[in-house]
Amino acid sequence: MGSHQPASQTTPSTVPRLVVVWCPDWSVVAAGASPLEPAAVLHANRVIARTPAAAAAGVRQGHRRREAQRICPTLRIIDHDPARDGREFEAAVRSVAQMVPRLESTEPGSLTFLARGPSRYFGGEHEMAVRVTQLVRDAAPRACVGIGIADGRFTAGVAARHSAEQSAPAPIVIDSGPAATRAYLAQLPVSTLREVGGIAADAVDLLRRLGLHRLGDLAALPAPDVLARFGPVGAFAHRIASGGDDRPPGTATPPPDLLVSLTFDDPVHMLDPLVFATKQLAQQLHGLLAADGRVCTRLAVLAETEHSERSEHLWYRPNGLSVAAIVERVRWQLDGWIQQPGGLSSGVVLLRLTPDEVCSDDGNQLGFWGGRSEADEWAARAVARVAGLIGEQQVFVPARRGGRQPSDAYSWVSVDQADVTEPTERLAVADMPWPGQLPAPSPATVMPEAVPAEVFDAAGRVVRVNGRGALSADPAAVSVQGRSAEAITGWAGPWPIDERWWDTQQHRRMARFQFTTERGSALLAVVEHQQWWVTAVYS
Amino acid sequence: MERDSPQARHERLTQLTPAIGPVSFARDRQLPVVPALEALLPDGGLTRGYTLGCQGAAAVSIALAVVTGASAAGSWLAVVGLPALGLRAAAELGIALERLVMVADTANTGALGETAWANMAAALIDGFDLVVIRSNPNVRAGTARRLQARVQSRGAVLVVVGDPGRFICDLVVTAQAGTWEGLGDGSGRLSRRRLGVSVSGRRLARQRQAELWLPSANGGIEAALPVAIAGDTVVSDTVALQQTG
Repeated sequence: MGSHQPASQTTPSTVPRLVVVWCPDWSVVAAGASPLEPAAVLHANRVIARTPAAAAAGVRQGHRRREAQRICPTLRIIDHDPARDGREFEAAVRSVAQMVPRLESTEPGSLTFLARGPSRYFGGEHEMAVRVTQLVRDAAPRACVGIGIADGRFTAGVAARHSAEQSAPAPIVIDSGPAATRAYLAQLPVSTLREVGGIAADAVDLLRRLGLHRLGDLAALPAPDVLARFGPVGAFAHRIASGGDDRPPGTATPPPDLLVSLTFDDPVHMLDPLVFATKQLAQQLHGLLAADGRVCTRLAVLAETEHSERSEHLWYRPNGLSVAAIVERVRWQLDGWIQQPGGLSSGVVLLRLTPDEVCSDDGNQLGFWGGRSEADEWAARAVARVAGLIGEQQVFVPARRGGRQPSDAYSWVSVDQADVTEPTERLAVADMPWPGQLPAPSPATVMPEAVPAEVFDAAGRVVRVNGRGALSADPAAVSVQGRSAEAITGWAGPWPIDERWWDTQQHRRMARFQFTTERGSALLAVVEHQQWWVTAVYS
Repeated sequence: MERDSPQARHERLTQLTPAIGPVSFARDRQLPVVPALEALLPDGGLTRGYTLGCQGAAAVSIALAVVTGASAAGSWLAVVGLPALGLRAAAELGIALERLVMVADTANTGALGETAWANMAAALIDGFDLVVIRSNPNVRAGTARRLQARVQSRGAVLVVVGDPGRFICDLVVTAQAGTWEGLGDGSGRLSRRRLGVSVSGRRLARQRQAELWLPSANGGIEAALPVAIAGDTVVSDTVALQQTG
C-alpha cells in the first residue's frame, strides 16, 4: 500500500480503495452496433450513447435528435432500452465475478469492487487491472474498457473515465493517500462533480460563476465556510473534491439479520414470476427500512437454483434504492443470468435481498438519477403503459414556449419528445416577460385551431378594424362558426399585436378583443385581414 | 381484578390489537383542496376512492379547481380528452404543470375500442392520484363499475367532466354559467367571474351551495359567498360541520 499522510488531514482514513470499471457508451454496445457504424442511443430525445464512428463525426452526449442528425446525416437512431443494457452487461459481470468477489454495480456499464483482495491475489494493482480488462473484453469484445483505481468511489470513477477516454485505453492507478488523491483531482474542472459525483447542475454552475473553475479551487476553501455558503450540497461537493469520504451522510451498515428472502417449493424457470416475487420482497424490505426512516443504498441480490448455481450481485445507488429501482435491477441481473449461454440446469429455488449499506432517508436527493419520488415513478410507469397501449404520439406533457397569445404560452409535447419526470427543461420559466400578453385570468379553453367567427354591429354589418385600430362601429353581436348570433353584453379592445414584422413570411398583424355574450360566455377573439376568429373561451 | 404479569398483559394487548387496531378515518384518506372549496366538500377535502361528476356550463373550470389543491400538494394529474385545456389558466389556478399529463381521447373519435379505452383508463388510475376524464358515452356499465372499483382500491380520485353516463358519482359538482366582471362597453378587461357552485350526491346528506370567484382577479379561486346548506337558514362553517357529523 502507498504511504499514509499525517493525521492532520481532515480526510477520514476510512476511504476505501476501489476499482471502477467503466464502459462508456454501453447502450450502443449492448444494442450490438458496430463501432464503425455511426449510431446513437436516444433517451427523451437526447443522445445518451454513441458509437466511436458517430463520436468521430461530432455527435456528443446531450445532443438533441435533430442536432445529432444534422451533424451526422447517416446516424442510425437506436431506442433506449435499459433492460437490454442490463441483460447484456450481466455477461461482463459474470466474467469478472470468476476472479473477484462482491462486485457492485451502479448502472449497466459500470462495475465497482474493493481493490485490496484481488490486487494481492494478482500480484499488484496494475496486473489486476490488466487482467480485469481482459475479462470484460472476453465477455464484450466491442466494449471500450476504462479502469480506475483510487481512494473512494468518486476519484476511482473519474480515473476510470479518463482511462476510457485515452486513445489506447490503459488502467489509471492513483496512489493511495489523501495527498495523492487531492493532487490528482485538483486540476480537474468542477463539471466533473456533476458528471461523476452526481451534484446538481445548477450547484456546479454556481461554483463556476463564482470563479471556482477547478476542483482544487473548491478544495482549498475551508470546509465550514463552504457549508455556510452552499449548504449540505456544497459540503458534500467540497468533501469529494478534497478526496474525502464520498458516501452519503448518515451511511451505516445494517444489522446482519436484516434481510428478506423467498423460497420456492417448485423451482421457477421463468423470469416473470421471479420479478413478480421480487416486487413483493422489495416492498417488504422497503417497508422494514422505511419504518426506521432509512433507505437502502447498497443491496445484495442473491438467486440460487436447485443445483446450487448462484448469482450474487451488489447494487449501489447513492440516493437510495426504491421499490421500483430494486425490481428493475433484479430484472437486469436475473435476465442475463437465466439467458446465459448454456442456460441454467434447474429452476430458481431461493431469492434473497440483503441490504449491505443503509443511509437515513432524509429526502436529501443527490440527484444522480434526477431524484424522483415514488409517485413520480408510478406516474412514469403509467405513462409508459398508456403510451404502449395507444401510442407515444397520443400522450402529452406541457412545455413552455412563451408568446403573446394564450395558445403560444404553453404547448403540449408528446412523451417521445420529452421526459415526463424531468420537467425542469421543458417548463423552464422564460426570464423575459412577453409585453403585450393579456394579464390574468387566462382563458381556460384554448382552441387547438382558431374558430372562424363573425362580429356584427347594431345594424347587422360586419365590424371592420382599420390599420390604426379604429372600429367601423361598436360590436353588438357575435356568431361563432356559423351558429346563430348572440348579443354582446360587454366588450373591450382592440389590443393590437404586430408580430415578426422583420419576417415577411411570418409577419402577423392582428387585434384582440374580449367579448361577453348574453348567454354568459366570455370569448377572446382576434381580427386579422378583416377576418374574425375566436381563439379561446373563458369557460 | 388481580394484576397480571407484564408478559400476560403484553399477550392480552397483542390479542386486542386487531380489534382496536388501525381504524382508518375518512379524513386520513383525504387529498387537500384549495381553501375556497373546503367547506363545500364533505370532510373538507377530496376523499380517495371517490368518483366526482363535474357538470354545468363551467364544468371544465370547476373540475380543474377541484383537483388543484391536491396537484399543488404533490399528486400527479392525468387529463383525458381535453386538448383545448388552457395551460396558462391551469398554471394560474395553481395546478402543478410538472405533474400534469394529457392523453388524447381517441375513444370519442372511434379510433379506440371500449376495451382499449378501459385499459388506458385503468393504467392511468394505477399510476395517478387524480384522473380527469371527459364523459364517454361508449363506456358500458360493467366497465365503469370495474374502473370505479380500481379507483377505490388504488385510492385515486376520478373526475368525470360532463354527463357521467354509466359512472356512479359519489359527489356531483355543478357549476352554473357565471357572470363576468370587468368588461365595459369598449373598455376594461375581463377581471373575474362569479360562479354559483352546488355540490350534491350520495355522500352528502344535503346539497351545499356557494358562490365562488373562479377565476379570481389573479386567475386563482376565492370564495365570494360562504357555503349554504340546503335546509339551513343560518349558515356558518362550524355549524355545518357539527350538523353533518
